[in-house]
Amino acid sequence: MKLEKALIKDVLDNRSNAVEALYDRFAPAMLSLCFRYTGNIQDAEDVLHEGFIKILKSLGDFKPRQEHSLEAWMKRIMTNTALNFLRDHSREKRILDIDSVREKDFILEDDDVGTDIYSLSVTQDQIMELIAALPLGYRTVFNLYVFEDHSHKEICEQLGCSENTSKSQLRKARALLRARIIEMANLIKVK
Amino acid sequence: MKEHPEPFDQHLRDSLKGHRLTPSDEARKAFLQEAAAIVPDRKKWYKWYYLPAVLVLIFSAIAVIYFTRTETPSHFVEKSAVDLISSSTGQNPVDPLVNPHLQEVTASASSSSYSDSPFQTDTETESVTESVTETETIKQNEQAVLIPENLHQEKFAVEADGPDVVQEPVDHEITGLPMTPVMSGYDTLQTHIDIDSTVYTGNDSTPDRTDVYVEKPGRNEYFLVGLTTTPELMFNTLEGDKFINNFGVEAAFGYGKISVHTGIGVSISKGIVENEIEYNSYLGTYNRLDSISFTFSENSGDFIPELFMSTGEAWDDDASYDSLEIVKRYTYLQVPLTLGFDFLQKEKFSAGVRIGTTMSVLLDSKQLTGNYEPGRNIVIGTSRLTPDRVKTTWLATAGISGTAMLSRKIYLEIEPQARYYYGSVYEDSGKLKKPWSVGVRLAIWYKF
Repeated sequence: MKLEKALIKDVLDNRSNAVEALYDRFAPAMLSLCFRYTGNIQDAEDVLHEGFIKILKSLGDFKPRQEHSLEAWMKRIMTNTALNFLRDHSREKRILDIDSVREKDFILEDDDVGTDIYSLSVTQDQIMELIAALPLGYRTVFNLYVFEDHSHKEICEQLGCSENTSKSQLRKARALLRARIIEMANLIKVK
Repeated sequence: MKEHPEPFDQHLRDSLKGHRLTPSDEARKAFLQEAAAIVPDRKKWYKWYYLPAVLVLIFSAIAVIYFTRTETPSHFVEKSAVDLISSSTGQNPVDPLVNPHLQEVTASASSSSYSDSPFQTDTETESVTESVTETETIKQNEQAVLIPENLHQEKFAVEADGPDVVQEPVDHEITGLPMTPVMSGYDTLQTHIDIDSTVYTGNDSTPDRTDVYVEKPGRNEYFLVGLTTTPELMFNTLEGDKFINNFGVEAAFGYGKISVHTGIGVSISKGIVENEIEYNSYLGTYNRLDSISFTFSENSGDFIPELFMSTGEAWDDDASYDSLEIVKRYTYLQVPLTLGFDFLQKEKFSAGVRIGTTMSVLLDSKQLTGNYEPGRNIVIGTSRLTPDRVKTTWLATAGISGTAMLSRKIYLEIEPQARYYYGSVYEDSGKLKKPWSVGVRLAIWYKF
């Protein structure tokens, strides 16, 4: 925290290299967050850029006593920037798209039923790829609920949907992700 | 971050903990290039609208100090003489047993019928003077009370102004010792007190005079604390005419006809936020063909189709629009600073004008009505049509006030007033002209 405070002070004082230091310190974690939302690295970098500009402009508003940490504050800004980006860039401005995933995609093969998913060896990058591959609506709800700790009420306020829609998309996102993780683990096993 | 109740969610969170992706060099370079042109706004709290708030506080502090420390010099001398004597001897200087000289003065004062006369005359003054002079021999022998030299000098300094006020009427009753009349609010009292008669200097020199005329300027200053409420009707807002309630605690510092009011209060109003909802409307269900199987009929020699259907739901591809009005309650903190001038001051009533400014800071906004319920429609997006409320605004206030005295300490003030908002109450100030309002301020004051 002391380091963060010093860094903020340096940035606000316009010290040379302070902005670079801030970027280098936090950009990798923020890019990971952006990627989870956008699903591709180019868009994630666009969101990262926009988000960091916002952070820089409003760094004077950051209150260490009220926020948990600088990183948490930055993550909130990045999340909002990502959501705005998705609204602006998604087809017909919809985030929660019409359910286009076939039901059979969720159904596990007979052999896979009962697989202990927690024991499968899937890397961080592979999980990220799987999350990124989720349909936009599933992905957004899943990210907000699981990683940003938002409630369904908060999600539906942000996305303009009903709580039931949010719950349903989360449930389907989980099922789809579970199926694909097992599928990927099996693929790795075969290889 | 708290533990997630769903194990699968928690597993994913744990798995992705510390995941990093390094931005490309191009992205980094592009950001640093743009960042170089941005100067972070670190001094946001220095924004201009905080300066008047600081001025309000400074002004209030000065007013408090000024009005609370004012004490008339003559009053001070008179009191301190008695106090000092008392403290230096451990005896009460006005006690006849301690200071028999006082009995003479008392007798003299009583015989001069002060209590019956509304005005102080030279003759009456002389009678007091004579009686005191008669007792001067006593003071050579009795050294009952000693006072410091400088106090004695102070007494004569006051004495020098005495004759200027001797013709003034005295409207209080002297029943015994020379005494301080009861101070009353705004009246300017002048009294005639023989300080010397209670004092012995301890030396043999004879004072020039034993009677002293002390001018006691009245206490024109006052301090009031009260509760206020101001129902207010605001015009020129996006939502039409708007009713606002204001409540607060105020203090008023007054000097003669001039007064300064400040305090703290809250302003509560309801507002409507209009949203546009874009959605795909639900069209209903239909029977969806999943598959067809054909069975060859040997009897007819034809293929007989068998259709496998399931029920599907359909939404319109074209977006539809709906509007949603959400009612919100806004609470503003208000800090007023008002100057008053009373053009009319009667015993139990005063009237005056008030002019001032109020700083208003948005404390809280609470949604009072529910969110959009789309039913089976699919919401594509929500656009807010009404701009956000501004966080800080300033308003000018002018009014005509009437104050009635309910009792010696309690006052009721009614003030029809008009308010003009320096800025719009909305973030997007271009939406409308600046609002204004009319209201009636009611205050109940307690006088200290």
